[in-house]
Amino acid sequence: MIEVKNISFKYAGSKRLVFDDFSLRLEEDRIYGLLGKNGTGKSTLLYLLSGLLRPMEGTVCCDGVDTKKRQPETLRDIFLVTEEFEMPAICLSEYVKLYKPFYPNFSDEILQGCLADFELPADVHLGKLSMGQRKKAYIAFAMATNTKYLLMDEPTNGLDIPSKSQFRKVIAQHMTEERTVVISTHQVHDVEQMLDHIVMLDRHNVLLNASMQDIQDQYTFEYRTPQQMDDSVLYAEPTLQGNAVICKRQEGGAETQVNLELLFNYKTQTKA
Amino acid sequence: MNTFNFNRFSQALKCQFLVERKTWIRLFGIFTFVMFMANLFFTRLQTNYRNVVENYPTEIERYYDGHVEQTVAFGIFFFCVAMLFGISSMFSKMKDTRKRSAYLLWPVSNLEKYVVSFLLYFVLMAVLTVGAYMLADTLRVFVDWVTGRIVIWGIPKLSEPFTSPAGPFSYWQFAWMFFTWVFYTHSFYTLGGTLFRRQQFLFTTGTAVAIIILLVTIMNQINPDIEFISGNWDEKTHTYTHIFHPFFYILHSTMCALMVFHYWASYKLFTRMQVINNKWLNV
Repeated sequence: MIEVKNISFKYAGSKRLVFDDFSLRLEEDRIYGLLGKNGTGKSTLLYLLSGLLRPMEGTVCCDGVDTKKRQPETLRDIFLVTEEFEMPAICLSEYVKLYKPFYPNFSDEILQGCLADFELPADVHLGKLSMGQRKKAYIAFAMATNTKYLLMDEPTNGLDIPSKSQFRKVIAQHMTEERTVVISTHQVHDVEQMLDHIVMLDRHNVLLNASMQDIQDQYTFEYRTPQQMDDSVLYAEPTLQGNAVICKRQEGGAETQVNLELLFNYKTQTKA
Repeated sequence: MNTFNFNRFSQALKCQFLVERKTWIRLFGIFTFVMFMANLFFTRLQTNYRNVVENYPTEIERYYDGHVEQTVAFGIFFFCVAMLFGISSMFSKMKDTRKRSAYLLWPVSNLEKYVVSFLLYFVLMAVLTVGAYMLADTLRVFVDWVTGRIVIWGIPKLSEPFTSPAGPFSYWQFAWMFFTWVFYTHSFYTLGGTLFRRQQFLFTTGTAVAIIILLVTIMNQINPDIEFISGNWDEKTHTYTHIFHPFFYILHSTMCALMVFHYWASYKLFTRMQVINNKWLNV
């Protein structure tokens, strides 16, 4: 479990606090969606969770160990897939050979599976790949490390359309009970089907921290004609199919699929 | 928690060396080329070899030996600059956010990462520079042999400045002074290389120059008139005895303490590095 306790953080030279007395708990066996407007601190939070940044106040603990110490025992349980990443210009097979000893749970089987899903050969040279292909190789390696905590910052950026569904398949296939995945993204449609918990960030604090099941229990997401609009509508947006609306779910009402984009706009615009 | 595990450390050392091997090979090539060109400059452009052979054939060995000694002096100077450049580039691999996050998230302890970088940019750099000098000297000797010149190797002369009777090891105080200044400078560049985020060598050199100017200005104002090393000439035994002022010991002890502080501060700075830091300084 990763526990963020009352942290305050601001960047050097900036007067604005990114987090002020911010707390959050990330449990095992969940895929978290981390959503927020630009500048609300999604990437900063991932850096703080992995120990790449130090909070000014408060603590970030991963299984009881402060992540800012960057101890190898903690680092081998955390893999952060950054939006922009560094991979040396060597063969993927050599990269794997050199770096896998640092991850005790590394699985060659998972790596081969992920590479096959992403249609990448194992002996490919990393320096000769396109940005998207390198990202797929990087995600495949991240999955194969089998770390307990997999943090991903905009993982679908740079991936083509088929790769986005391949990405969802890869995550779903290799999700285990001990694993926690945190995906920070603006591309909610790319990942909304696989998320089981949503954390929405606002300036300094959490706007929403709820499981998908709780959201589905609380709200319904549907399309309505202007004639169907009534007092039960909490939020509406005009679309080509009619008005996309969020309503309070009535007792005994049917469960609907969550429209994350609509929910995000509802929460950020109404701050409900 | 294990802060230094030898197996993990050796794995990390091997990993970092292999990942950076192309850079090291390129550096070896550049160093060899520069030293070979310098050798040609000192033994070809600066000499009037044919004139000496024609007019003073018995003097040619002594004459050419002097020019080869210049290549050795250049080699030692180049070695010193390369060592300082090397250690100040110890964390140049962390100059942007992508590289920093990859390096800091590597599941190796801070101490292991620091020692790996230190070894590569200190020991490997030394081996590489000496190797480049040897290769450059061999190439120069080969060119001399092909063009019919006398063959004089520069490699055996590398140790001469240190083994001569007036060299740094004639008194233990001189040896102490020599090593203190060498490692003090090295530690200063190690700290500079960790503190500055970019152009580490230039900024550290600039800082060193500024500090020296400041110290000299202050010393001129105080004008303490201390002769750190003086001596007595004994007419009977015809021997010269050096006398070291107490301030000599105080100065070098202080430098030793500062040297330890520089290395410690460099390590502490590294352990506190974050993925997003100040634009110019790693704080």
